[in-house]
Amino acid sequence: MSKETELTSEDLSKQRQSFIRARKLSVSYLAYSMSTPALVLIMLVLIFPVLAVFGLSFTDWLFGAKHLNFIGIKNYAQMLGDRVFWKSLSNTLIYVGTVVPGSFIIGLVVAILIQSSTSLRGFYRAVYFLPVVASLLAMAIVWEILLHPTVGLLNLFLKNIGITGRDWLNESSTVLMALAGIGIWQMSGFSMVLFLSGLVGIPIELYEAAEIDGADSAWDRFRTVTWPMLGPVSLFVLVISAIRSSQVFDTVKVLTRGGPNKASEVLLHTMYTEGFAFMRSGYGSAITMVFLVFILGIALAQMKLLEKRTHY
Amino acid sequence: MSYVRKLSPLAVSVRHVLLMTGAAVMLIPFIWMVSLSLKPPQEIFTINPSLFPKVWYAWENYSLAFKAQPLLRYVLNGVIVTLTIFTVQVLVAVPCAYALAKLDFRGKGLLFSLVLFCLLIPPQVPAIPLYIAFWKLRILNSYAALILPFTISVLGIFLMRQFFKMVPDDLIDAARLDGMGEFTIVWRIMIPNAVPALVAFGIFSVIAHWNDFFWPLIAIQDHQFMTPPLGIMTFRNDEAGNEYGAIMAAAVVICLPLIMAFLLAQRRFIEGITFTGLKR
Amino acid sequence: MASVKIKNINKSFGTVRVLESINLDIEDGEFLILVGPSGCGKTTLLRIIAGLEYQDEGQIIIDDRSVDNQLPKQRNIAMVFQSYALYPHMTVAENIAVPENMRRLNAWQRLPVVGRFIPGTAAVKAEIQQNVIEVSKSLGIEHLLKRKPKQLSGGQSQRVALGRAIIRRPKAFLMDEPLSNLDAKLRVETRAELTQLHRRLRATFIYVTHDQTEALTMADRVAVIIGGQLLQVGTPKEVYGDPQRLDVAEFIGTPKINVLPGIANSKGLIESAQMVIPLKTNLASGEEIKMAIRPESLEVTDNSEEPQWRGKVRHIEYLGSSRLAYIGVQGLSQQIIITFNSNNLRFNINDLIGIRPIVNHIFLFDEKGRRIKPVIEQERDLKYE
Repeated sequence: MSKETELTSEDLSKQRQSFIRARKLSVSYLAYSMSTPALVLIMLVLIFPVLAVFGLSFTDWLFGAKHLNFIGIKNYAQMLGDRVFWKSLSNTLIYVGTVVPGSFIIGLVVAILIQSSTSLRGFYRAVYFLPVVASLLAMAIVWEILLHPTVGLLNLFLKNIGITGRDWLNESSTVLMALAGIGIWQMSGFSMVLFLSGLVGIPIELYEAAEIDGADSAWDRFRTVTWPMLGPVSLFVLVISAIRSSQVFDTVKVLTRGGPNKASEVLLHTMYTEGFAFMRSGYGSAITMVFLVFILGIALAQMKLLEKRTHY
Repeated sequence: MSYVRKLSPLAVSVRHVLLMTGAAVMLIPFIWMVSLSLKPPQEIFTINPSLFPKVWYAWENYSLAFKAQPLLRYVLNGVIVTLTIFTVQVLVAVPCAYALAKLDFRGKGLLFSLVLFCLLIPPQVPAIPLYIAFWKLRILNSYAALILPFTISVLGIFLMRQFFKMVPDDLIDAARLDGMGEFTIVWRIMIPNAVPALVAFGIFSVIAHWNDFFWPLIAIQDHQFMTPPLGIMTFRNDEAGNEYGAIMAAAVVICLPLIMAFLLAQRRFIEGITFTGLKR
Repeated sequence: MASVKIKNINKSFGTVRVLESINLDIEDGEFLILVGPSGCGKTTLLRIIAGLEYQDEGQIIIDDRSVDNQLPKQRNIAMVFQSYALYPHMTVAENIAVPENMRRLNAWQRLPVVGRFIPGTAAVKAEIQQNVIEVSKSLGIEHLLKRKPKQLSGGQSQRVALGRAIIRRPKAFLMDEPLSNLDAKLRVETRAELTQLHRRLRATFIYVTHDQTEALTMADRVAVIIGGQLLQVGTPKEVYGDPQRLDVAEFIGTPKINVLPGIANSKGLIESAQMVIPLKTNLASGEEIKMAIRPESLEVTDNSEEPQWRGKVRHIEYLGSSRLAYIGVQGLSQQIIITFNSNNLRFNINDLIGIRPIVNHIFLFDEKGRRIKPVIEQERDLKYE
């Protein structure tokens, strides 16, 4: 019998308690050391800047200026009275409201079509996903030519079927929709791929049970099995598409610069113009805050509204 | 396996017609981009275009593209920047993800909530303060400016954590019994077993940062540091729409790397994206 | 090889008490099986011995040294997990080599490319490789060394897990339900192999299972843990033939033991369903007890004069070499199960027969489930009157 077994149970208990505490502490230290770089970077590159934007939005600072004044909510007041700001906000809403349903439906339909048969699946998947991979900026320049009023392929095609095409990118009535079209073109592939993964996860037995129950036409199958089972994926697609389309910038900057007459002005472009073209850091920060709230609002609203309806 | 019923020949044809039409719409911009890059100006601005160039202008367009702009440099910058960003992201995110997935410590819940919250912050929001900070530090117009803001990927932390959670605890206990320390476990056990998640992470990161336009537009002025999208835009602005053939040639060159990679590794690419969808 | 002493272990998870005052001395080289229903704390005890969990109170002493302040890897024990926990991205050979690599190569030598240039590494690696081959030969898996775990069958995976444990030459082997993932036939074969392995290695095996057949067939000693308490420790024969607790009697043995209610009469004899059992006790009249009788300890009486239980044969199960008969006896709420050889079956379903227990095979338990030993004065007491 070694000496240790002759210690009182109280001593042993204390010994072991301190050992357990030491172990827990060392695991904690280890965990902290593993997560510190990430935490530090999150603070430096995300959290502090967001706080700084918040703070700056209450100042009148111009980039490079020597002085900075707190002006309370004057920036926001100015925004609310600015016609450009409201146009920008409504344009962004319209854009999102067009691109999200558009890419959602196209993505869903294409995914279902692709999955309904095995022939050429790989080819179709690759082709529809290609626009997601390519640089939007480069493709935007291509679209510029495609949408050209006289030499663009779109109008030439329309001419062949007897319709006179418009100057899509230069008329205020059509420019936003033209950009939305490009947006849908670019994002449908992304939704499609997510829907494909959702479809693959639906258990075959559900379709077989539906067939036995008599729900075996394509529309019935969609309504009773496919659509409900795609609930979580659909929610994810909606949230992600909404967030990504709210960030529209490349096409606007390169093709229209917000024109003609602010008809295609969007939030991020306004923020860029104020913050980096006019160097009005204070005002630009205020717009950034609105942009942030806009996106958070969309994401959270969708999640709250729709999470209730997805059943698991 | 998904549910595939036998379709009638009519249904099969309809399917192909519909999908092909859509496919054409998806592909036309790409095909046209290549076609234009091979054509002389008179064939570009014509109301009677044809698919194939009547006059083969490829040499002129492409050589102008490379001469007027440091095109190769742009592509090289793309490679340097995306690879560096991804490497740092992995080094930072993976240990953090492991701690969140498998270790117990005070503040774990708080850290994870912070990660989730940051997922919702659009990347453009920190732009103004970061610009100011980098200006003060005099690192604007450099690789540092392009890389630093993106060294942290909360999406990466989230992805890897979800995947790490799926590794059985038994495996980690066995490794501890066998004498492995926690860091060893991360690199020798967790990473080799999380390759799909790592690939998904990589794909997201590379595509996003190769094609990023907003931040390079703000942070970079010198041609030698421009990333591919910024390079193209500069080219187009300089040319003011005259040498469209050359602009298209440049566009082809900067789209090519990612498209090639995509076509070669199609499976992985698509697996990667669907993986993130499933893991929600 | 080493002895393992478990002293007064207590463990709770939150408000749930999982282990209560467990005291157990395991001898050096012994094959000890912890058996009990699922979820009763045996795996937790195993993990406490390994150091993967901490006890709330008590000590673990391996080889006469307390290991409570030691990390799992310092305790020099090996564990075979129920899921085998093989590293999926490594080959069989690499899996088995891991503990040796960890132990004998330092961090520099283990670096992927650079490590091999450090002097001495090659020699150590060659030795380890040699060990791996020896161990795999002894388990009959040397032809699998280049395969990955997902290419192995259940039985093969289990051997690799054993190999990884054996190569460490640990003080004790801990095994957590290693047979439960195998199909029935393979389980029987592997049982015998494990027992032979134990004899060959002469190692201390601490083995956890919920299958009492495994416990009876493989163990030197069996420790029955039910509800977080160690109810009995003994050889399989003791635990089967001399259960100290009703729970033990009910858990050990297949088919399950018959448990009947009984009452002590004024003479201290036990009465059950109108039959007086000639077992004399020190109980007061009217005290209630439980009587447990194994299915093979009941006989059919031909003589209608003798004391017996009369009942109808409700059901007969055919087991190949034997039969099980379910008898519904008047006055008893549950059916009594009797085992027969095929030869002695002389009745059919719905027949009315008489049965009675073999007196000195009866176990008596008080209302707390503790064993009551009858007072035996002479042979006479054990006869029915």
